[in-house]
Amino acid sequence: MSPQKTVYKFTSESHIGSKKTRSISKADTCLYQTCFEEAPISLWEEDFYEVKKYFGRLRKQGVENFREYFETHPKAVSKCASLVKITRVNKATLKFYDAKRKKDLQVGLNKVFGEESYGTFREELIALAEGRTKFEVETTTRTLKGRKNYIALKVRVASGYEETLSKVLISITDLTENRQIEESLGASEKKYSTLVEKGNDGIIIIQDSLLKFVNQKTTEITDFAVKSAIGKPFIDFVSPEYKELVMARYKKRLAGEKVPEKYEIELLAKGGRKIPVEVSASLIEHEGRPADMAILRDITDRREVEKTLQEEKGKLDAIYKTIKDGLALYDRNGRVIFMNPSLKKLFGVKTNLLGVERAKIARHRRKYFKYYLERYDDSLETQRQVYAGKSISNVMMKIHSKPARYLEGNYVPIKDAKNHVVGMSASFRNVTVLKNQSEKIAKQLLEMEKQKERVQAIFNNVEEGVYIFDKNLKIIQANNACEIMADCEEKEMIGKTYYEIFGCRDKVGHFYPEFDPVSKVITTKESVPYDEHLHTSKNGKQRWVGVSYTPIFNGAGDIEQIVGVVRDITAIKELEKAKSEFVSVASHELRTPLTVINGYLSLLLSGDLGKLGSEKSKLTFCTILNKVKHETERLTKLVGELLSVSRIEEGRLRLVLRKLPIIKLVDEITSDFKAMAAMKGVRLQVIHKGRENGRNYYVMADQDKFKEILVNLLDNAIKFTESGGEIVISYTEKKGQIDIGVKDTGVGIEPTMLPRVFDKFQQISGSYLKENKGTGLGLFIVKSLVEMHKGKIWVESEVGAGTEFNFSLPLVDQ
Amino acid sequence: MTQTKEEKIKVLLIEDEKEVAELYKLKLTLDGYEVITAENGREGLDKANSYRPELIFLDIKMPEMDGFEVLKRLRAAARTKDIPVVILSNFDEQDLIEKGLTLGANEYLIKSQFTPEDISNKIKSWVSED
Repeated sequence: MSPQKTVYKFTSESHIGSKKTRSISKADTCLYQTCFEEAPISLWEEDFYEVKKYFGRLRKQGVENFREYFETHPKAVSKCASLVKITRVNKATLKFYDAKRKKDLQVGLNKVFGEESYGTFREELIALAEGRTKFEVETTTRTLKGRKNYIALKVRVASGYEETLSKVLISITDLTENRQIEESLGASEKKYSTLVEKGNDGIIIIQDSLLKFVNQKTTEITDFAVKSAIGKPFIDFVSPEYKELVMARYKKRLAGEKVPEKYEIELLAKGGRKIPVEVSASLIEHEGRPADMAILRDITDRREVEKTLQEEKGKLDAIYKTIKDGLALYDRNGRVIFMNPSLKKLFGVKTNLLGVERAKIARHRRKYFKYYLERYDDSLETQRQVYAGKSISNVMMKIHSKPARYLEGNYVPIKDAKNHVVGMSASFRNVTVLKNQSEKIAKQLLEMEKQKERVQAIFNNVEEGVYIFDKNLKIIQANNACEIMADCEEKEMIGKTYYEIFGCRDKVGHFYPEFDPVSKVITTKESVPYDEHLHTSKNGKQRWVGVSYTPIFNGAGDIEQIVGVVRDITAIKELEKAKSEFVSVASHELRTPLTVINGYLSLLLSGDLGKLGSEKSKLTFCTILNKVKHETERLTKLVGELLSVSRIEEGRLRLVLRKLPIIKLVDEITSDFKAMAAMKGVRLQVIHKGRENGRNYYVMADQDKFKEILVNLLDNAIKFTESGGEIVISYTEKKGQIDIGVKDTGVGIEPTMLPRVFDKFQQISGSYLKENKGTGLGLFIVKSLVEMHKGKIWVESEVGAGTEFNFSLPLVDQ
Repeated sequence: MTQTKEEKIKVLLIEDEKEVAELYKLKLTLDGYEVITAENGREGLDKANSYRPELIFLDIKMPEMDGFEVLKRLRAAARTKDIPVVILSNFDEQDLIEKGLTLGANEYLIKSQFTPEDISNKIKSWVSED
């Protein structure tokens, strides 16, 4: 406070009001301008002509009550402010408004004053609009630098400009000094008691080094009664460490030297207690003489906070250099008061953050951080919660550096001894590796999950039965195929051993426990790659299975589980059996003629032939040769048929398909058999059931194979039909196919044998003559060939009455 | 090798293959044996009972009753259980051979590997075994 500052009084009438005439002399003008320019108060000349026109427009629009209008139309006030032209300002105005150049002020009224001045301006407008030429008000204004001043504003319309308002003079007198005095010491009782007695600060007045005034708050701070303090040397109440400093400053201030306005000391309270206070002292006049007034603010709490924060900072300081985690400390207001190098590195801090509010950093991250920061929380909400006393941990954030970093933030409130939150500490850990790892693991887990599903799907859908045994050989899992093969549901199998589910024996015939392949895996620690077992399910069904058992080891190399894969190979086994039976029968069939050939040849070679004649045997040399020849033919035929069977079964038999006239072909083949049938005394005839139209039918067929089919059937028919019998070949056309029948009146086939006549090596035992014995392959070949021609073959027979074979072939267009 | 009528050894040949039976009969008759033939198992069993031959040649694969069944029954009946039986077959599977010998056949011969002469020459050894 500087009481020396002069308060100038300006009486507008003395200058402006005296110039009542419109014509002013040149000398007057000159004098006026000098006075205007040099006046110690702020003077303005303003042109309200546009505003006056605006008033006119408003009137035309029906505005009568300008007070009401401007109070309800703030925009109109703004508009008027922009319409006012500042034509001239003086030097004092520059100083008063902290402006460097007049131009800075002549930009327009709206640019010069702030919002808070609008109220004043509005009143001014209302006065002018209502035709008043004078307006005075005490108000506040702000300088261009934002300094607040108390002013007395006086507005006069220059004489002669009442109609146009194009010249309006404004004077501004600084009332700041007056006001501050009024406010601090109280021009009124009320202000005094409020400010001095009920204020939060202690106020004392010192004169001649003695306390002249002490307010209530001061006694609260120091615990001394007002009475016991008044009249005492003020220095008695200063803690010893500060006595010297305080005294020095007091003296300096009285001497008019410059001393810091604010500083911190410690007072000596009742009982020797030291109270930290912030002192702001200034010179005043007390009872007509200079005195020192000091405002004392108890900063015990602040000290406490500072101490707490200092402790935290100390702790952090100790570790901040070594630790990789980013650390930051914020004060009560959320300002950064500490951060370590790791934090700067992690966030890519660009500028100094110390002293900057966290909220501001959050709003302008780009300004402070090199990298884009992506937070997964509401940063300000987190802060709010921490300052409300809650610790917030595991706040994930992503720093978009290259490569990206992931940080985990932990925010902890700092509390003072009274458990008040006085700040916040934050630590940031780089969890990129962890995060990447956990992402990788999560990915792997997902992959494993998928894999598991796939495995599960495979597990359940494979044809093979898959058993999983624990190390005690108990089943812990069995798939669908197991259920089918064991005639048993999985839940029934769980917890049981293999051998409780079904009977099990090996190829040689050993049963459990003599035969125990699963235990073998445990004892040998080796897998059983393949073996064949016969399983008998609880329903008594037998299955040949191909099995493999594989141990699964744990990390320690012990068997944890055994996986048993079981495949039903019954069909394969049957096929194998059939195959070996076929080979066996085929060899047997081949050996029979060989035996005969070999036997006779050895008889001839051993000279037994000579004996034949002497024994008057019916057998002649020629007869023997005929027998040998006959057996050779039989052998040849058999070999040919075996080859055919082999080709048919392996799918190697190829047809050469041509369009054949079927009836013509049947006739030709049949006529070849006429002689043979006649020799045996069997009648052979061809009849056409249905229309005898002489029309030919065509089939797509391999001519040789077709011939083979019919020859085989005719051969059989003649063989099994005795003399006097009859063979009828017939053909019937129906629905795009032709049926060809070969019916004989031979021995017939027993009903039990009928379904198997087309099988390989099926003997039609007991119902045919020895001399007509075939190879046992003919009908199998016939059936195969018919089917290869997309046809069907069937047989009807009655023992003693005869047999009828029929086969059908699809017809093609002529 | 010719034998007198009184001394003639009776041989029963149970064989369904007509050609084969004829061949063996021819040779064995030439060598002085009395050959009785049967063209299936059942007939063979009957003739074994009625003729009580000194030796039986038995085929395996036959209609009516196969050789194994015939053998079983021969061995089961007191009248025939001691008659030497030689299986003559063109099946050479080991399990069949074993089966035949287990059922009490004296020997199991593969036809195509033995000439009628070989067989004729071996008759004495089988007959004299008892």
